[in-house]
Amino acid sequence: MNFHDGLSGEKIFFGLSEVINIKEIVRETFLIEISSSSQLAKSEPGQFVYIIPKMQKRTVLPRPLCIADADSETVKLIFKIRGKGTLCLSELGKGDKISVMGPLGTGFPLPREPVLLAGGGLGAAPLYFLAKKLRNNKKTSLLLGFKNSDEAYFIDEFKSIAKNVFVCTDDGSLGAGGNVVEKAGEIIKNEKVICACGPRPMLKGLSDFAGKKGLRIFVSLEERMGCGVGACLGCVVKIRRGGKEEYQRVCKEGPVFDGLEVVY
Amino acid sequence: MKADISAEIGGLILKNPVMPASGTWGYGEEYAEFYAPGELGAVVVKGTTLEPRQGNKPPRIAETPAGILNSVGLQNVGVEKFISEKLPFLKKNKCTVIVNIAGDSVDDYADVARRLMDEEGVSAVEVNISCPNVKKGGIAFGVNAASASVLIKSVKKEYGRPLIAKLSPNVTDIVEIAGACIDSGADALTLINTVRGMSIDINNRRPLLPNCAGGLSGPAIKPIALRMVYEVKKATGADIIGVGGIECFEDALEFIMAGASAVQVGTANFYNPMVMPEIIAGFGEYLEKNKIGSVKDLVGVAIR
Repeated sequence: MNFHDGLSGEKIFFGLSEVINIKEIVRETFLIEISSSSQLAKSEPGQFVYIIPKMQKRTVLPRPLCIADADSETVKLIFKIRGKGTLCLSELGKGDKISVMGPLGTGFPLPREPVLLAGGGLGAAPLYFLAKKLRNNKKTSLLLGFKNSDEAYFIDEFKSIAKNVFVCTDDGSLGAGGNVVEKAGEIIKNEKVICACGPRPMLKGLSDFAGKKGLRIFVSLEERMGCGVGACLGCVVKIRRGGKEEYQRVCKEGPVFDGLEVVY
Repeated sequence: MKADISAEIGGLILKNPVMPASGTWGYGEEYAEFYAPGELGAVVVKGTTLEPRQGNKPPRIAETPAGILNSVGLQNVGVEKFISEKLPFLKKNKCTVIVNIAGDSVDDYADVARRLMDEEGVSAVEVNISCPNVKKGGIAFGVNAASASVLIKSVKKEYGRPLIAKLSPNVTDIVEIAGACIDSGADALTLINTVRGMSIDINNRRPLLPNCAGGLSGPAIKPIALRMVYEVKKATGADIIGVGGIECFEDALEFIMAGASAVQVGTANFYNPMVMPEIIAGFGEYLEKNKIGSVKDLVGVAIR
């Protein structure tokens, strides 16, 4: 396969990036740092990039990876080995060239009112980027949930950019015992908005909670994706708005949606 | 002399033989970030029905070795919204527009075709008698010669510009269906739609797609598509648009040599959004290098 150089668009970069660093931060979860571009430097929290694995395992589709940080030098992405594509990505090494498309999708808004950022597992990664962008909002608190202490990552990094960081684990091996939905009810005070990323049951639980409390909530969703740019209608989620239900595209209108409108 | 990469399909002249496969390229807006859609030979838009459709329940996509299964199910904005909201963008970009049309009944297809006949900006219709992902219509018309014939005749009555029939590979004898479509007034054929397949979610012990089966596309189906293009060209001589697993110029050239006059690219757009301009450039370079005057000189040269 050959790729055009420098033919990417104004907003979306498409071309080769260099792997600057890759490391397994916790078991089967990798932080990969790749070279940036003018378009990637303008990534917003909650957007994603499409990485195209080399086809040695007969994969064809790119893999959507969440952006954990981006500037004009590098882009940090976090992924977990889930199948053949992410296994290929985990085998990348420093200096390898990979095909990248992005940033793609619609990310989180940047709330000015008190906000709770709630992340579960891998879902904590985009919230790091969001927390960094919200550094001027002193009323930002973070709630990070993991299965256990072995799966927790980035805790020190989060603490270095935000004051109120709460950690919980399902088995209580780190921070408080319990899950993100239970803990949100306990720690929430005057927050008006929740921004959340994590497994769907967690997002549903938080959305139910926000609905009852009269809070706004934005959730970042995942779905099996085709084109990544809104053309193929492969990655839809049902949205209820004004009494009407319709499918919207996770890669285009999302991955961040109004949690109160998502039909889980 | 500059190489002639133009193509002719059922009386429709195209500036080059490359276009997207319906449903993989939306309405042209989504990929405009990468290049102008007017660079393509034509733009084939998403399957369009009389009324808007919601499509199937997700997940709609499953990756398989060298391919993907999809079960999108004709989610589309409906013909009126297509004309008012999507067509102006394509006209502004000077695209040759081919509208893929679908419906539940013969009357549905005829109504969509009649409505599109009023629109100068629509150069041809591609009649989808091969969608594997809807319960009614779609493939039901394409699996036997008699029902395909009735449908093509009804659309032909309503639509005076080029009519292309998009055929399913999920049939016993594609040559028979192809012949019936041509005899009933189709000006050209698109071969092939997706191949029916399945993927099982072993953790949940059930088919991965809620619709159970889906349509397989991508490099995995290229040999199947090539064989069908070859056989239909040899038997009928019809104008054919070849589609199935094309991901580079060499793949496209194989289809031309097998008898296609133009090609469509689908799944490859997802992993290389520049694939179509690359293929177009490939045709120009190939003709010049091999001192061949026109792409038309290569159509069907491999047929024995």
